[in-house]
Amino acid sequence: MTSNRVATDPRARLGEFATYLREHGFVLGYAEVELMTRAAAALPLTQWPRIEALWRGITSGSRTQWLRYTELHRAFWFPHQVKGSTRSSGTTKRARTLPELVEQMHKEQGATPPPPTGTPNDQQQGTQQAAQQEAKGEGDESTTPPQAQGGASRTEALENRDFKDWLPQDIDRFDTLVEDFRRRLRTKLLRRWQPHPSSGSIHLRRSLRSALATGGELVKLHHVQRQRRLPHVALLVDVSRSMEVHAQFYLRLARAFVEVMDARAFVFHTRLAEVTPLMKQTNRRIQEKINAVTFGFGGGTRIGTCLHTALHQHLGRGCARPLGQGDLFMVFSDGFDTDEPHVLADVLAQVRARGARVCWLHPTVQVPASTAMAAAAQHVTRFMPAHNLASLSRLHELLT
Amino acid sequence: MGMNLESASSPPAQTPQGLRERLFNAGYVADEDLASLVWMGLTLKRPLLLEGSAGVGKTALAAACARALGRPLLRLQCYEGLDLSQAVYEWNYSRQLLEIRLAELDRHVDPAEAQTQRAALRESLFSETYLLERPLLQAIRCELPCVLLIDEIDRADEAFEAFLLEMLSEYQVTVPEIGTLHARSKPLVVLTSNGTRDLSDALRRRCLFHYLDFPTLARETQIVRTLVPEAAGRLVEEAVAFVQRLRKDDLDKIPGVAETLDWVRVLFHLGHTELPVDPAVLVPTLAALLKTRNDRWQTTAERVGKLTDGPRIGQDVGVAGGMK
Repeated sequence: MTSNRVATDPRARLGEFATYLREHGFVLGYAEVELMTRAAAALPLTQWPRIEALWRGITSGSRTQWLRYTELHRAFWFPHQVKGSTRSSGTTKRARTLPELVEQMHKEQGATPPPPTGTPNDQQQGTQQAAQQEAKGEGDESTTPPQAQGGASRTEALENRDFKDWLPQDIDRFDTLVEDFRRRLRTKLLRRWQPHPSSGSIHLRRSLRSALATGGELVKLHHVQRQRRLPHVALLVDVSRSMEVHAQFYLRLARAFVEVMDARAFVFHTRLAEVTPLMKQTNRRIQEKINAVTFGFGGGTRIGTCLHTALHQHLGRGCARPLGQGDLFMVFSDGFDTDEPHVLADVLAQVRARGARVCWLHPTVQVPASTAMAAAAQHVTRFMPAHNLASLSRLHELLT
Repeated sequence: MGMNLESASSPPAQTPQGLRERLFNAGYVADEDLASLVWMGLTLKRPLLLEGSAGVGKTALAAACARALGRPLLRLQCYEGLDLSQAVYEWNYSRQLLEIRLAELDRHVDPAEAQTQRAALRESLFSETYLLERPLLQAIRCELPCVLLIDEIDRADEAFEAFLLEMLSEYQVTVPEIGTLHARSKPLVVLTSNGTRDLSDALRRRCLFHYLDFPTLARETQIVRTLVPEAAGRLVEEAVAFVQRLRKDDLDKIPGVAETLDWVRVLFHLGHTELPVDPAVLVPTLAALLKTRNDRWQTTAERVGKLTDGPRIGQDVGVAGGMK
């Protein structure tokens, strides 16, 4: 009975496709699913292969999604054409092919009034209907529970998987984490003023100047407010040999910080190098460049010396975006230092003296216990393990 | 404005293929996907969001759509600090004050009549008569549909982006003193972004997205041939093959199609019918392609010589010729 309904209703199959896209990180609401239906119905039947381009435009919201859509579209609608794909043995119903689906939508379009010219009420009804269909179309849960299709499991174990076991495609999750972190940051109130369209103090000189155009009448008041900005964030990633396994994930995390929060990123081992400009580029070979900068030297670590260089040569007074009150100084390291133990403690004390917070993210569950760390621990605002996604989801605790 | 009366009177493009041909006639070489997207934007009345590097033809597409559809083009250039008074509407305060002063000068009317006039003036002061329409309001108050280009939306503030949501989804603008102004005609809205910052999901969801990448060798050759028909075929093929190779170099600013067009025009005006063999002749003309000091510094005559290496560039040209 259920499979008959699926066979005659293209919306259910489209709902499955929407769910499939959502599982791959696409943000699709009911409105988008309805729009996909309308696009398929509006396209002349002879040109149905173009549906891929149309749906790609509707579902994609970024370059990454736009580039990935084709692969997902083909894997879902034409699995037999995809190399290495396998057919699930747990399903007995025949899935509707894309040409059949488009044809069915055209038939429905002919039988019912076209949605684009309908009243808002009609459209709302259509959306609700699509929503219901989609909710039901989740693979007909009454008969085939999605948790156990052909022995496969949908359980996402990524949360607790250690970074060293991650695959490159998994690290897209960092962007979401950093977005969340940014939302929780408290903005800093600056001494500078900036124009505001409607509220704040009245800027008398500007208001009087603009009143010249209206014969001296103060018709339009100009307002100014104190500027606010997010705290500066400086990330220092240890890329020495002892961090070899975790460094590439921390670098990807640093890249997310640079993209989302305009942070500054440095890498260090026995020397320090700033990689912010590299991380801002979208060049295809940029990862190779970063790797060349970071892994070119190998060997030991001089954490204290490198942090000192960062603080005084890159984040000091007179530099662009110096470290100051309320800013974040985040170090990603296991704490194994070959400098004298007091060097690290001294430099972290200097960071704290500027009013910045020192956050130490370590790849181990336990707080690093090297001699240098033991001496410097009193200057660290917060230690936090960062060995898997679950631990990174607590990033916001660095702000408390 | 790019108004084409002939095409304005012709029926709108009914199929993606038809629209693609129209765009071609308007001087824009669109691939099938892009033409389908524009067609869908017209059919479903959805805004288009075009993202891509500078110089790949995002703004040119909006202008070409206006020409192809015979619609006026309204352009809003976004920048940091753009507010509603520059983008949507502003009250014409000078004119309002003038009206008030004129009413005050009119002392010869009897008190009852003066009161009536004052009441009428009060009513009319905040009407559409005193509203200065800016591009967004103009676009939805046009009697005939137009093409609205909101250029470089990523430069505008997030507050302005939030304001656009009402305009893009409902095609209406709310003016507190008047009420909601609905669209007389729905424009084709084209938003462009260079991807310098992330746009909100809410805005993206209201638009049809397309990422414009650098064109392939064959397509770029076709574009240059179409837009610079006076240049020799051999020159176009070799110049495009050179630019395609240059893009693979490690440049700060990768040259777009616009730069290729400029460069071919420069070479044409210098009287070349093919790419000069001597790299030293070519280097000064690269100012049209390379826009940063670092890129100019690293693209030496020696490097240019390698890029114009005879047999290899001949192979590229062969590829372009085969795909014509």
